[in-house]
Amino acid sequence: MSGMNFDPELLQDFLTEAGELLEQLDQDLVSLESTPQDLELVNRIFRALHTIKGSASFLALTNLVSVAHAAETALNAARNRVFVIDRGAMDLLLAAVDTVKKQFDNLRAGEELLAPEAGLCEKLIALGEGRAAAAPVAAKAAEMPKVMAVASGATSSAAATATAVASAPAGGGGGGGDPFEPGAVTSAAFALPEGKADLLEFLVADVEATLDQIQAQVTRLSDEAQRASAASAMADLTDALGRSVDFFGVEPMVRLTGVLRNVSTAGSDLPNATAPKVSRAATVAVEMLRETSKGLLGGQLVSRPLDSFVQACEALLKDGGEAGEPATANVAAASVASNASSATTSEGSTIAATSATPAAGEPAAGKAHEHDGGEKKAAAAAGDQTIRVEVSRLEALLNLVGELVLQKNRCAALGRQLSASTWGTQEYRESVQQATSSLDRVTSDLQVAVMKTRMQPLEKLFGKYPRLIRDLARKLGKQINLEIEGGETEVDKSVIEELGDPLIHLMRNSCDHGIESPEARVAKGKPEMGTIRLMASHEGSHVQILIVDDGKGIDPAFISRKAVEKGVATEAQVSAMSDREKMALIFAPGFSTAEKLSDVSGRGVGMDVVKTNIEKLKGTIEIDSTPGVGTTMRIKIPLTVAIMAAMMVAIGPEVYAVPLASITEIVKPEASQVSTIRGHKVMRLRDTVLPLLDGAELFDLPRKHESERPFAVVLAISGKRVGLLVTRPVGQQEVVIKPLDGRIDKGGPISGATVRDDGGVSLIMDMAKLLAIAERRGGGRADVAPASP
Amino acid sequence: MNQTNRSQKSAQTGEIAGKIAAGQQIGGGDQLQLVTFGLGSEEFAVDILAVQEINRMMSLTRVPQSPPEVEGVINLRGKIIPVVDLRKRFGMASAEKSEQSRIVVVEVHGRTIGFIVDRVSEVLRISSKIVEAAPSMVCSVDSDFIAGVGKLDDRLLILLDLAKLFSAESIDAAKAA
Repeated sequence: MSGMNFDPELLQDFLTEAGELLEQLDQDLVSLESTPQDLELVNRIFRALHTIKGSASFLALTNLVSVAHAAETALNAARNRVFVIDRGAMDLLLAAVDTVKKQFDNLRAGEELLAPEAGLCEKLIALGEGRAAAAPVAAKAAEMPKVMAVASGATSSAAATATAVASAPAGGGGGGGDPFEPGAVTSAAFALPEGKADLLEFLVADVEATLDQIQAQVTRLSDEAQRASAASAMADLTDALGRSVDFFGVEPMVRLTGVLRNVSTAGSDLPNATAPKVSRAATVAVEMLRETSKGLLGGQLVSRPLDSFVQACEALLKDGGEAGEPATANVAAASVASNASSATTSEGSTIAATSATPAAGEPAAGKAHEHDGGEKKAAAAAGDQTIRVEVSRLEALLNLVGELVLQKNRCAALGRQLSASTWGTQEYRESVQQATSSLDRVTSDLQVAVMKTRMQPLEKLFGKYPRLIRDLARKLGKQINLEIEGGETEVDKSVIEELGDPLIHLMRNSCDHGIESPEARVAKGKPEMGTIRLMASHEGSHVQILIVDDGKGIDPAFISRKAVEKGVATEAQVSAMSDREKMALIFAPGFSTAEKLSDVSGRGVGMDVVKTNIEKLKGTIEIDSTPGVGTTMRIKIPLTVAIMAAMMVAIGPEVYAVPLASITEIVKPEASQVSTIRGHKVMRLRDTVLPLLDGAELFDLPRKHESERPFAVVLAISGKRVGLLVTRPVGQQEVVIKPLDGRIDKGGPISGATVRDDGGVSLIMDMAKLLAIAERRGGGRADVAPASP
Repeated sequence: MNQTNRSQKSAQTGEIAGKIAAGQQIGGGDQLQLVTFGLGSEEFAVDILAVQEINRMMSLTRVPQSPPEVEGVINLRGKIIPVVDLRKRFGMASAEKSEQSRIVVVEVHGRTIGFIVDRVSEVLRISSKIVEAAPSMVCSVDSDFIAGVGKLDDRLLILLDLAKLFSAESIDAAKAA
């Protein structure tokens, strides 16, 4: 198989679309485990798998198709109640989804697709076979393995059949002649293009399975009570069918699928009088599709004249059909029905009378057709409310808006100058003023609107966790229920990306260290099933995420003992700490409380990384815990990392931006407050001693402010404090954070750059790095500098 | 030539540079369109298609702990780009910036970079026939960065290889040296 040379754009589309479906699949499968009776859910999973399979077969990814197909087979059986989905079945299904995920990784890396694990497909199909003899559908499922076995050698066999047929006399006689209507059925040699041929068996099996399901819905159409649900189920099915059929480009099948699609669209609004007729016409279409697809398997394109049938169906849907026409449809349906049973059993038999159906409907059909086309377009437009846009384009847009804001500021400044002057008439000056202020408003709105395009719901992250928790719980032998709230809360795309790993880690910790084993829980009088709640909500310009578990909680005494053992803190330090500070010790580098290493958590590199990552997002994390009752992790992050409130400070000739969130106060120390300890400056601030960093020294700037008394910006970072000496504060400003070219950012205490009101560039200070520098100098933690003399 | 699409053009120039490096004369009547600028007494040129714009000197923001030849960063219509002092890059004595000093903004391998030159002279169209491989000791500039030398009637024009000039390796190497 060499499926690696297809259009990269197509592949990208496939990866994004199918990737989203995959994520949804994980989630749905996990919820299915707890509600195996939820037929709607099974259907949704089935459809997602089916869509992935369809697109994959389009790209000739045979390995992927075979896994998806096997899983689909199993699900189909589940749908038909051949077996009940239990843990074992779920493990198999999840394994299949995992395989597909790995194959996606292969695809992204441009590697050959991983073959499914030996036996996985077989097990799934065996599952699908269930009590094979019981139901006809199960019997059909039993045919699948045969199909799969043929798949690999299919290219050659299909090609052989094609040539064999081609050598036979062409001209209509061909294979499946119709005993009743000799002229109606035409049959021609048919061969799929190279690369698609080996998928033929899949298609046919797939089309037939789908047709069975469509037929079931079609029958339900005549019943008013079930009509709406049947129509919507049918719409999904015909969509799936349409994708498979479009891929193979067999024209009559495409048209017949179109008819079915129209039926499903109109289905829910069908008047009672027409419904049975429509149902019968749809049956005819289904049978014709079956006929053609069977023919394909033998390398033949079996078709009938369709023009009049299609038009008649459209007319029927439009206005209940012309006089006389329903009768013909009846006839057609009747004869089809009589043939249907034999059609399914004998390869050669075909459906009669379809050609007779349409003649009467034809006259009215022209107009109806046009009308219908318009409606379909409208429906399609309504369903397609989103478009995919490359992030780089949004970024470009954001940059342009930033530039616009600058120019707007300049205009505003000029307007102010003008108003203050006596230039021009009073009226003229006022209108300039008005124009600049409305420009101001529009630009701000525009900026907000563009920022919003980058917002995504947290659901994108949260969706992965039910699966994670389920697997962890099984591995750890615990029972854990995950409740998610506020998944619709939106944050900036970059926040979502950075937040993923820390959240996973915290959830793992809750499962591993938080929730107790079922026995321990029962002994404590708690319910066997532990609960982890993941909640997100907006809080002003921040998003708050809570991870609450009802586990054993964190014991401050235990934590501080461990911290001393691991050399994270000294006995003296620990004894001076509050409970909350003790708990915060789990964020210290090198701290791990796991008694034994597990592959779930406990490598000792976790929590400090979590904290660092969250701080990178300019966020904070706090722990609150009651021993025996549970633990709450509270994360606060700004909505976006692209914009930040900053204090602009001048240091010598340059202006820097300091994140406002880190500043507690700005003071102008008297000379007597400042002293030196071991060569490093400190200042006395009320009762405490604050280590000082000299901004000019830190940024290698000329020390122009030597004569002047500097200001000290007091920064609080991760509970530690440090004072930064600056020439003077300039003012507060919302800054748009821009990345620095990686080549010039060589590790200085800078996290990015921003453009000021006047068009100049200011660097944004990196608080974590500043703190690290201060700690290096102080030879320990910044706020534990020895008391001044 | 102006209509030539950029990537095509740069591929072509790369080819020319390659041929020059191999010491071959270039056949055909290929025209090169160049932006020429001066550093001290010497005259340099870069392919016009690599040049995004040429700006007057503006105030730069210094970046602590950046490579020595990086003078700072500027705001180019909302994008923050690094600016390199070409004199420092070539190891020449640094000079005061004057009225004539310009920042030439170029795009190299998807990165936008500005470099400071003493003056920008003109836009020139020359035949690739008069471009030759650089002799090893032609000027104060490391011959690695030279794509070729254009012999005009009255003077020599040093064609720079921007990709090499601003590649990560060469900058790091310069730093290490």
